[in-house]
Amino acid sequence: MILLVDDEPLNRKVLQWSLSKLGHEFIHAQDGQEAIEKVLDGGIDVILLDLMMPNLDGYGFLAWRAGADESVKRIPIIINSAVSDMDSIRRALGEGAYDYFTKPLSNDQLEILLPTKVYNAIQSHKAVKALNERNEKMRSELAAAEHFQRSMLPRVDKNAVYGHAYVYSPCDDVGGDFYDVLPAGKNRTAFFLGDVTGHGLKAGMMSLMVKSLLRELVMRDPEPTVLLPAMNQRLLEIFETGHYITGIYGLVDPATNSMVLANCAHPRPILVTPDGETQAVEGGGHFLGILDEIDVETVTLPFDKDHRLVFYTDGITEVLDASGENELGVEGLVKIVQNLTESDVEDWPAAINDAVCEYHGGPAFNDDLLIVAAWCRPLASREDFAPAEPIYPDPTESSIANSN
Amino acid sequence: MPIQIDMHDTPEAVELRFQGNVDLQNVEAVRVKLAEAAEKKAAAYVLDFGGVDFVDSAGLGALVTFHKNCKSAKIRVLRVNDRVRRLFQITRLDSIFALDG
Repeated sequence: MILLVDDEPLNRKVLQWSLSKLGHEFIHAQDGQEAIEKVLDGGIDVILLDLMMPNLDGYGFLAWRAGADESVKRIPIIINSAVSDMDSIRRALGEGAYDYFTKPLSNDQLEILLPTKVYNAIQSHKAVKALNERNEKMRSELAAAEHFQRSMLPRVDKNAVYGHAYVYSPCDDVGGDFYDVLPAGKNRTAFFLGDVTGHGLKAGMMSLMVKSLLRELVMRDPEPTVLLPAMNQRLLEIFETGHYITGIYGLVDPATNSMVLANCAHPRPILVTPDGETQAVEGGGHFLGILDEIDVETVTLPFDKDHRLVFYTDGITEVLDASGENELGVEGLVKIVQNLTESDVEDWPAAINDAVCEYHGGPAFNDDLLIVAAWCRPLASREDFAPAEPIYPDPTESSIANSN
Repeated sequence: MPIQIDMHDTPEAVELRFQGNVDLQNVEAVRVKLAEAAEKKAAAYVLDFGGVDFVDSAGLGALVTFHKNCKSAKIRVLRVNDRVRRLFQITRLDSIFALDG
């Protein structure tokens, strides 16, 4: 609908006659106050606004609009004024008017210029409205995807042999960092922390793909020297050119109080021994999903209730200090972890996150962040240990269900 | 900053001189240029990274794809800075690309 705002009824009539061929309905208002009421009734696609009116004039109306809802602000306004008064027009355009015309209008102007201006304004309003609706839809879908991705993170199970705590914060709604924990038979637990190239929805979807692949491969054979080359082959088939993942894969065996660890071109994990010695674990192989043949190098580490392993994605070690010059690096992270060795391991990921923010001088990161601290509970003290499942959340009590 | 990549042939190798960062922002341009270079099927390539400050994971992906596309060719990377060198070492790609000075 076209809203015509003018205190002179004859002017509104002439405008309506000029615009009748556009096929829109018309609403009339005799001043700014009445125009506000009509706009609030809804359905207006364009407003033709006279500047000089009694009660509330055109500027008054523009001032009201500046504080109104987004949907009202998006309605284009075409102002009009006497041809001798360009200053008023300049001012009104500065206050958010979309276009203008001057009075008096010649016949040619009424026939050609005015309908064209109004037609373009309506088209532009439609396009902006459609774009906004699409953005809104995309935003809500992204939020749903984030929810879904969070619900895919492994649960913290106080009874499991493999104990862990973690912090996850993607820089967009969805991210390419992922982490999973899976039963690997014979009381063993397999875990994988990975980082897919890139950020955002695409990386998030690739990470979900890798997760489901991991489940399948762990069930088949969880040994890193078997699993990782197999995963590499499968990812070569799946990934687009130039995409790959880096990651840390571990197989924890409480029977021997040890873990076999393989580093696939990922920043080095940090091992803390019972006497508080803290150091980065050396050794590593290639990343997955891009090379036809990969080297897998494993290390066997002692791992029991008194050892802790900290692993993370490169958003942590690549964080810059306040000057923007120096990266935290693995060495910097080792120092942070050293200061935590006396505190409860379950608090480590949050404490590390805080320390990293402090180093950076604020929480604004441009990469996904994932920090995990893991340890092993003693098998002997856990006679009721049920190795098979409860690692994934029960869908009825997932975070999505809880939030509703 | 958009990346600038100049390519020229020498008797020994195809040389590519990079000016700018090999990162997500520039990865398409890098990919296109490297694909063009691989088409030449040279026996050796020299990538001059003297003008490169920073390489990220997306850029690394483009380099590895290039390595795969030119099969048995020798690839040398010249004038890498410490940061880029560390990235090649962490990812074990120094076994694929020969890093010089």
